[in-house]
Amino acid sequence: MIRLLTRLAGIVIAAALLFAMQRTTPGYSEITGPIPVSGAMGQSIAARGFSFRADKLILADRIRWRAYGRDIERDSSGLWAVVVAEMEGRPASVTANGALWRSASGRRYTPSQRLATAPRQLGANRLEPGLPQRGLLIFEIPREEADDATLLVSLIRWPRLDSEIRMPLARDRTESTDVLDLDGLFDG
Amino acid sequence: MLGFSLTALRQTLFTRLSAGIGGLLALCLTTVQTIIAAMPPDALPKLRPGETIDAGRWQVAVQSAVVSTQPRDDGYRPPPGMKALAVDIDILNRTAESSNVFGRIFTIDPPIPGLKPDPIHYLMRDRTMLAALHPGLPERVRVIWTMPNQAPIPPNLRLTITAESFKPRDNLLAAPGWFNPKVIAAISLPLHEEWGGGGGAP
Repeated sequence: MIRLLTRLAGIVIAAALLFAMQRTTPGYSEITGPIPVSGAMGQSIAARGFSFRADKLILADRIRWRAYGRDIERDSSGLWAVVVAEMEGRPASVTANGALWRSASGRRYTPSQRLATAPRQLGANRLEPGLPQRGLLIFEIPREEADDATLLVSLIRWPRLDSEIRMPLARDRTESTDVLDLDGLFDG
Repeated sequence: MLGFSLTALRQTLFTRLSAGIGGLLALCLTTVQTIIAAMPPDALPKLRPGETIDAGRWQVAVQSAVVSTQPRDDGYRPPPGMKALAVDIDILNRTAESSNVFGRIFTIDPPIPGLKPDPIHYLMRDRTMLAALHPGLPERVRVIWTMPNQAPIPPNLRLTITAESFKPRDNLLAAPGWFNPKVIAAISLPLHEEWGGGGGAP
């Protein structure tokens, strides 16, 4: 009787162990996922292939710029989140277009493509070593996704075994405005 | 002697039966699947214009359909000799990620002869081509198909809506994704021609 019970207990424990292992095994995409590099706004963060520094975040209802002799204004049902940043390829020239806005609820936003002609967008040009580029990452987000977001920066949108900068966006470096003139951002 | 052979027979029978159980089960399963597949498909739920439906990644509401040959207020101009079939929709990205795979939602069924298969999507807010839809930001979008000017227009346009379902871990990479497209609803829209009877190319 006791032998039978011991055997039964053994089977149950083994099953529980196997179930726990099955539940907690990281998937292939997690094992080969991005390698996080943490950093705060205002400091220069070195990742594999590039370095990145975010200076401030501007939240705006509308944004405006001038292209081909025309004034263009874009509104949104949410908000425009404009990150002013500096990026540099290191040690070689790279194109980095893997920026994402990860909101507190976990949604991931790619930079808006509604602003094809807007000036100084990072991700559009190649980054050269020794020539830091100051530019903008512009996201379109719902109002409720603006607080406590994290900026993810990598070379491609789905980095595999490559570094991904994870930068919490600090409130003391956030400004809000009604209409943001992109051309005026770099004049002063 | 007799007892021994009976035991042997019983054992043989038992072995064979237990070995065959898997095969029997598989046979039953495939038979049931065949019967289900052969049954007529359930009638699709019918939507009214303006009614919202959750279709996998998207929440859509089809508003109206129009055929025109003229340049439109959205900046779209059909090529010479072609007319444009435009369907206005309200669409919201329900997923957690910005996405541009809105081209697979609608199928025109029954097909309209002469219609070019791949539609263009216009973002009405900007009056430009739609590049991506972001989670939680609803937009009014115009889906435009083109067809030759001479092609006859049916009085009604029937669209079916295809939805994919979410899998937190797929079979290959254990990554989350949207799979198994399935037609979930249909909508019929009256089709009218704008600016009187088609006309010629502008």
